[in-house]
Amino acid sequence: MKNIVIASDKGGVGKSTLAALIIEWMNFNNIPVDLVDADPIQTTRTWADNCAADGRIVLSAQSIASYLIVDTAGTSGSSLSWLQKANVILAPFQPHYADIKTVLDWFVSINKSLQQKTMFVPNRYQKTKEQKEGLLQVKNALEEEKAGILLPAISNRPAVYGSLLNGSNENFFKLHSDHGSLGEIEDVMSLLLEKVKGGEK
Amino acid sequence: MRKIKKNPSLSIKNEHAEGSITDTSVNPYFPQTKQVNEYEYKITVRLSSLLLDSLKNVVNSNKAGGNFQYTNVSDLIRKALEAYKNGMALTAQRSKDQKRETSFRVSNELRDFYQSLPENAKSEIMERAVSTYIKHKI
Repeated sequence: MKNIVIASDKGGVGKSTLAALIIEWMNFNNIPVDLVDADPIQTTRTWADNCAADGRIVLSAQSIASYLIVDTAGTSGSSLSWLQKANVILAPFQPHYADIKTVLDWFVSINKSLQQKTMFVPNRYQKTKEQKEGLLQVKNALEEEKAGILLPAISNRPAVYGSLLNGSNENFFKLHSDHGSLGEIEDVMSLLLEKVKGGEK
Repeated sequence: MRKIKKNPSLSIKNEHAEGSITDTSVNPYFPQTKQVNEYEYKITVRLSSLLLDSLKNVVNSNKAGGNFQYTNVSDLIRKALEAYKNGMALTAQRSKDQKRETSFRVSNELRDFYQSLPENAKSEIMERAVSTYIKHKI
């Protein structure tokens, strides 16, 4: 089983939403997945429980799961012990100053070996000058550190992603098949899984 | 005259007298309750306030995810001191931010080690040991 740890020292960047999206994508592709919600607020666990209450089980037993998604809390230090167990670390952020500052400070503070496992996911991306500049700064910082990968962005679509964490009896990608969200996540997931499998060598 | 029987419940006894029901040395139903505390000695240090918050977050996050390796912040600080005693190199530097006083208990052996540290550098060593520990060892 491979561990994908979703981490960031800042709250509100979309860690739980990304965790739920990955689980939905894996369900959509019949890949067994389990969840450890290490956030005391338990947002992702509540989402999974809400889906189960609506008659849809989204998580598999750890014994048969191919992937374990670990959703951590957005507070300083809370992801530290989970990072050591990660095959891949996902760090979502919104490409604006506040998020970029926190996420890059966190990135330079972790070990080189952990940096090599880290993939950044720009979340709620809008093609504004400020956000394009933000992405460029992250790209430059990763080149400077010679570690980390910048994944394709997930766009800002509150009408599509906003209701995800409510939970539903229908898979998110079946429900929103006409909104193009599947293509967006597939771009992220293909690179993510490639990285996970690359780590096996 | 009828002899008045004494009500046994009203009798005054020396409850802790030898052989009585509360004499814990002889009664198997009252085993010795004195706890043998491994961590007898209390140490107080001044650590970075942010670092202490991070330690609390580490413990809370671990517990939320079902990992009870560290039960509290003191446990984490104690493990860091132990790691330093066992040769962990201090790679993290001391921060310049606000300090907060915190106490933790240690064993006899760990206390001796702590006391052997240079007098005016104990808090600095502790802060660097804890920072290094959470960065590299947990």
